[in-house]
Amino acid sequence: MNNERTRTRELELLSAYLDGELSTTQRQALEARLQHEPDLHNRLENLRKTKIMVGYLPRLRAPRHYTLTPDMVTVRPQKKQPLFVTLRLASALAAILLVVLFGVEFLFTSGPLARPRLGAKPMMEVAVVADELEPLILWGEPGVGGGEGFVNGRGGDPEIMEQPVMVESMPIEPEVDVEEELPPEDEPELMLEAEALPPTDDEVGTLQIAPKDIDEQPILGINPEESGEIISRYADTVEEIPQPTWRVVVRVLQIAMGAVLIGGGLTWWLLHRHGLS
Amino acid sequence: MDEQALIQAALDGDLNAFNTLVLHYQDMAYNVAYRIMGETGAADDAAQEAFISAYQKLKQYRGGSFKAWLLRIVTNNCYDELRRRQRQPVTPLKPDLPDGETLEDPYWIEDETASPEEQTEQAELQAAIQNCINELDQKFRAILVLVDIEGLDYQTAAEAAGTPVGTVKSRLARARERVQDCLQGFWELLPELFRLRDEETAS
Repeated sequence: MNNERTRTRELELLSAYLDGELSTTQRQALEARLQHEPDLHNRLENLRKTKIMVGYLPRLRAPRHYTLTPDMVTVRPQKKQPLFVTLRLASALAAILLVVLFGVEFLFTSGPLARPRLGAKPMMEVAVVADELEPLILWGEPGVGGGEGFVNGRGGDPEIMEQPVMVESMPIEPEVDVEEELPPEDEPELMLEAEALPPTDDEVGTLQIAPKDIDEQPILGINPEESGEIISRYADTVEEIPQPTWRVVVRVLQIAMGAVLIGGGLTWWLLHRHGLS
Repeated sequence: MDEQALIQAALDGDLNAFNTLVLHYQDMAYNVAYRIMGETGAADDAAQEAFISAYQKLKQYRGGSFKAWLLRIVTNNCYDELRRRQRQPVTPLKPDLPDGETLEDPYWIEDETASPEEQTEQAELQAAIQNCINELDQKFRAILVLVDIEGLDYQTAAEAAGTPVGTVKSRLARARERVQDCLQGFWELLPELFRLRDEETAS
């Protein structure tokens, strides 16, 4: 390493010595070394020959006059390249917009401005779909349940009938005497989310009330048409929850800006590479 | 020629005054451009462009050596053109010799008293030297041309190249050493007097 550095330093000294560019002290020191170091002297001579050889090249004359005419020096407005400028501008704008869009999306989904998610909402949507199906379980009219404790019933223990799971979600209505025969439109609504989904006529229809003729229909039983089958009622009926509109718009804009950015950047690079920029 | 007066007249819009300067420096500009570019057509364009640029940028001239200022424009034009050619390589048209060899420049043959054989040898030697210069890196090449071909001192060469004097010194030394190594490949073309010491001992 040091040898290489010393050699380079000597080379520069010898070269400058040939051109008379050394100071007096440098020149005297070098001349003293040259008298005692034949290798250094040889290197100097080789450099001198090289310098002479390069200088041996003839000085060429201009093949023509380069004098200027007024037309040649008229300052013309530089030709703008609209395509190039537009591409560069579009790419820059697209990049900025893309960053802004990602920022907005982050803020409103994962960031501090994000809304807390409602856990019950999907359940409600499932309930809506489920209610449109033909019921698997048919509930009997409490009054005809057949329990021994009921006056009219035969279906079982009246206490069991009075504490279904859905009691909590049943609409708050004035208590009706179970012994009274309710008209069909006043039947208790057996729904999971009664408050959120007020029953319609169709829905009421799905919760079929067993006919009074207890000999013909089961009080609580399996739909005979589907008995023995394992049915997944929600597999093909639960619909995908649609994204909010603003997210769809943001996504489309992100894709568009990304396409502009990539396309513009690629075209700009190609133009630049082919010297058209 | 009162250079400063001509420059001032040119600054006042006198194109003829500037053309006087052009006529004075055009050979130097073309020669430097050719040695850097290694091709006549490109050197011609670079020289012409340099004079047009010089006229348009004359207001930026702040005194000092006009020659160095002009050569800086010439070398910068050459660098730009070389960079452009690196992106878009072109094959220059070269005049063919009767024996199938090519000469890079029809201006080689100057000594009309030499025999045809001697002229050919001269041309080959000069072509070999130019090839060795062309193999140098741009920054080394320009310094070698400015000092060893144009004969500028280090200070003027530094102004023309836009580098410090110390850089000129080191680049020139390395450029000479590389050309020296390159020329050993053309040993048989070198005149006996100019054969390098190592070659002499080898033979």
